[in-house]
Amino acid sequence: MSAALEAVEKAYVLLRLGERQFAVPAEDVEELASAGRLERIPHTTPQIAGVIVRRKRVLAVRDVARTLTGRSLPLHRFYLVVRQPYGAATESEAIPVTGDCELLSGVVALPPGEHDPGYVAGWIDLAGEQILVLDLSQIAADAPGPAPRPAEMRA
Amino acid sequence: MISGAPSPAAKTAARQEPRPVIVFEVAGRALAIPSADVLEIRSTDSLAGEAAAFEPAEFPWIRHTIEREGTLHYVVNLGALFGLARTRPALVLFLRAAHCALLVDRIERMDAISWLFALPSAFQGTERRWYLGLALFEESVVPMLNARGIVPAEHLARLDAQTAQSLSGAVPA
Repeated sequence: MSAALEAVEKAYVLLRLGERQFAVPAEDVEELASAGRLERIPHTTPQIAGVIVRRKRVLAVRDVARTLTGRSLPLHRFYLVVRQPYGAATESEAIPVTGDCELLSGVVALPPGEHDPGYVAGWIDLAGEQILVLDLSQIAADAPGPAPRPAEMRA
Repeated sequence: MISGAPSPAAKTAARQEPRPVIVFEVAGRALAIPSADVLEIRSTDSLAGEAAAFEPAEFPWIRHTIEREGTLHYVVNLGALFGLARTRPALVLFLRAAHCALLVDRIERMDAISWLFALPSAFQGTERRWYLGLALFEESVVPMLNARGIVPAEHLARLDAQTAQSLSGAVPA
């Protein structure tokens, strides 16, 4: 998970948060799981909505929609289970997503813009639509705020 | 399922000898605490005449003190500490590990656990000291309270200093 993508072909998973699509490197993705029961526990960590039990593990649910689009998803059908680095180890986390995800192979991403937030790993051109590639390791650290639009990147 | 992705990390839960726990409720949320960490459970009604008002600005979830067998206990409103909806707690759990007591709504049951899941690293706030981990009861996840982390030693020291100042004569020697 590097902040800047190398100009090589990689696979990405396309996910939808409300009206907007984003991409994450496929190597960071573990599975797409149906939305199970969200367990809310008292806590003070921004972005974390609660936990789910998945394959006898307890996974934190990270509400990236609020950070990226300004509001949580009113309804979500799936969790995208991704790996997050914590020091030398990784842990799985669940991200609520609106619908099915799509695997894109052999894609070359454009580098992030100079003023993009740290969680922007780059951009993918998908049939003329610019898709923001997320650096999941950075999304927890960055201040909440709407994700930049492609036009902002070029400005 | 995304095919071709590497296997997930193996870390899950730590197995331990079965230990009894008390599962209780605060504002509709189930929480648990090892039974060994609780000295006594009393109803709030029974303490009506014993609680003394004490409202440290630094710790707004503490509103009272209670003296129990010569030791002053700080009464922690768990709902207020956790930012939950306001309720009318019916019980007080006196802790063994720290001289504080927890206001809770009701005891749900006594149970035993053999497994405690580590709190996922995504949780980075004060909950890291609040909880020993997460217990799984059937399909429900219940945070296991850390009796020493609800009011940590440094906070207790500050509270003790304040009570010594404001309640002169009320603090046991």
